[in-house]
Amino acid sequence: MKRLIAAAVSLMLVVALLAGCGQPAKPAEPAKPAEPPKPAGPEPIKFGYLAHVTGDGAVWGQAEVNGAKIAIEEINKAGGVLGRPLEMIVADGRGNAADSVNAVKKVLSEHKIVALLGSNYSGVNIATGAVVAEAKIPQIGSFATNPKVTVDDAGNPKPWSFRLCFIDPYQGKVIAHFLYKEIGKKSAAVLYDVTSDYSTGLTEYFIKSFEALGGKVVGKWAFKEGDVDFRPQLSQIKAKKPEAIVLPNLYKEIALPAKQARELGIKDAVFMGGDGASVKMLEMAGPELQGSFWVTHMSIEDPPIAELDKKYTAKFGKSEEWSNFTMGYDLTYFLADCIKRAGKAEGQAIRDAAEAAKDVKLAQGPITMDPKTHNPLDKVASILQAKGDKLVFYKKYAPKD
Amino acid sequence: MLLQQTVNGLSIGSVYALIAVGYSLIYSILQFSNFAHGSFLVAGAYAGFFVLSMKIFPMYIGVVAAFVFSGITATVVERLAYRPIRAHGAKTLYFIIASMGISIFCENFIIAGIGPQFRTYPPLLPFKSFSFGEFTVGILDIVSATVAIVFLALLQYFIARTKTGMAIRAAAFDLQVAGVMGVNVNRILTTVFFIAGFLAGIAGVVLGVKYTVYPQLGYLTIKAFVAAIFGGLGSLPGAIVGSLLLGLLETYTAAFVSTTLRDLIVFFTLILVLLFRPNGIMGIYTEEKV
Repeated sequence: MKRLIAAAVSLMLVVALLAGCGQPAKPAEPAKPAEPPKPAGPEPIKFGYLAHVTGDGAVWGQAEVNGAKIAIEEINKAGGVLGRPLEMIVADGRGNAADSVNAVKKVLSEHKIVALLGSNYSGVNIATGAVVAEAKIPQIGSFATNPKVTVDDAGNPKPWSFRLCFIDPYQGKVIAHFLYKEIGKKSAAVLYDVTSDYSTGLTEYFIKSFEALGGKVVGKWAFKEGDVDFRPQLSQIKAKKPEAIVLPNLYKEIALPAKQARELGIKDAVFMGGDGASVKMLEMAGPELQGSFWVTHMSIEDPPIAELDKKYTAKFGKSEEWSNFTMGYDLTYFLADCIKRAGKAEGQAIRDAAEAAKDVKLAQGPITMDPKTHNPLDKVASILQAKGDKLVFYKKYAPKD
Repeated sequence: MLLQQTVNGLSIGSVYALIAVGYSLIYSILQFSNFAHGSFLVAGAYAGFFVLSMKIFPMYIGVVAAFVFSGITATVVERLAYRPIRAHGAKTLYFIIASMGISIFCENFIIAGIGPQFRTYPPLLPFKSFSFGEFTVGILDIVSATVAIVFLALLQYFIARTKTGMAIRAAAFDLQVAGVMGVNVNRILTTVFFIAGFLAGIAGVVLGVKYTVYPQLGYLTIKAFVAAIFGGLGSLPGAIVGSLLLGLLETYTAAFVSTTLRDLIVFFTLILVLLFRPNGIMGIYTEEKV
């Protein structure tokens, strides 16, 4: 009996393997598996959404996908786009470039998608940029903030890559100006993740702007993704007595250093960082992060976002990641607008419409695309401050040179 | 600065020691690298988080429950995965593959079952640190180092002075012969796995309180494996010394050389040590047993 079972299992494995192999990476005409009978009505317009719905960044990825779901429901209720309903195919990038590239390739081979939305990681979008360029569909990133996502090394825009957020140089500049001009901090240390494009980019631009203003950067200290103990670096930072410690990282790598810094007796330095902050970090290091400042893309105080927050809470429960679900929602509306203006659901036409986007009204404010960089023009940042167990809106801020 | 970095290094090293000792113990008996060791640690960390979050038991009961849970997890793994393999007299390689499978299974089980997000322990200890002139030491470090020392001393006593301890030493010397001589091998293995899991559970709770709990917390065990090899596999004092040295080496490298080169230098040093002392710093000279 045991042998029979073993034989059956191995047979199943072989069949599964054979089914899995033998598919070329990019079939010209993908072999269509037997599909369920189609519902009557016009064929849906399919688009991909690359989000990290598992792994470290799952809180953001899930919020983005859910935000997009709300938008799709609204758009389809109102008659769809060009008379056709929208349909989203989610590709789970699991928070890293390799899995993301595979996920996007898989979606491309199985569905005819006209555009790819997401993700919120720069390193990931830099990697998937090559895949969408080959497939000739535009990718519009959510919070991929590194300049290299949409521009090549020579400074020319990558034809198929866009984003709806502001970029790291701008965030770094905001942190520098805010620390120096708004709250009068004249010296700063940086503790950054050397394995992350986001973190290294933000660090570089912060240092450039802060020194240009006349501030003193006492040093930058690196760590590697996955590190949980930052005391060697923090002990050295303590000796330099900076007035501010910049943490251009994601929330876990903000909370742990902040906690350990206070534990080591760094009492007065103010913490500041970019949009990698999340209210989750206040669970880990609430008291230690009190009074810290964080740059973010939008503000829950804005009526349209507050409105969306209500819809989201009714459908998915309360989420603190409102900038992510707003972005998922807005990306979907932005895509719908591009398809409308293009007049057809086809990659090249949508790309051209995205490049020419002017004053597209979205929940986070109007978006005008800069054709030279594929970044939105002149967005105002919001500054949040950690108070109690919340990140509270502090003020809208745009650095003035 | 040197003093502060030494404190930092020893506090990291003492956690490595808790992991390395259990790992070394299992290695000395079954002669294989148990990659599932990280899963025991994660089991303890999550058990501690859930028990303490319920806030119905006093703190120390919750913490000990987590250690025990982790120990039981280890014995269950031994019973379900390793014992059948041993019964077939299979090669060491199969143990290693099974342990990798368990490790991957556990991580994904937690991601799917409990969720990938970070969990934060309720505050167990007052958030305080003591400053002595130029260096500071947190209360958490003092407590965790004390707990580590107490349990490692207990283990040393248990191995050296009790009858079961003697049986464990015999099994480590030669499992087959020990069995022939009337040692109940299965019971010894259950005991050893329980001890290893229990110690990993302590490490898990300490890490959980210090940092946070997340499914990939077990990745830290790789460093503890290195520490065990560094000190000499199969030698408990070696595992402890190796762990403290590794903690110090990591911290000094990060502090005085470069944080980015840390792992590069640490592993390079390990290779150097093994070139000159193939059995680690305190390793027992092993010949091919005939």
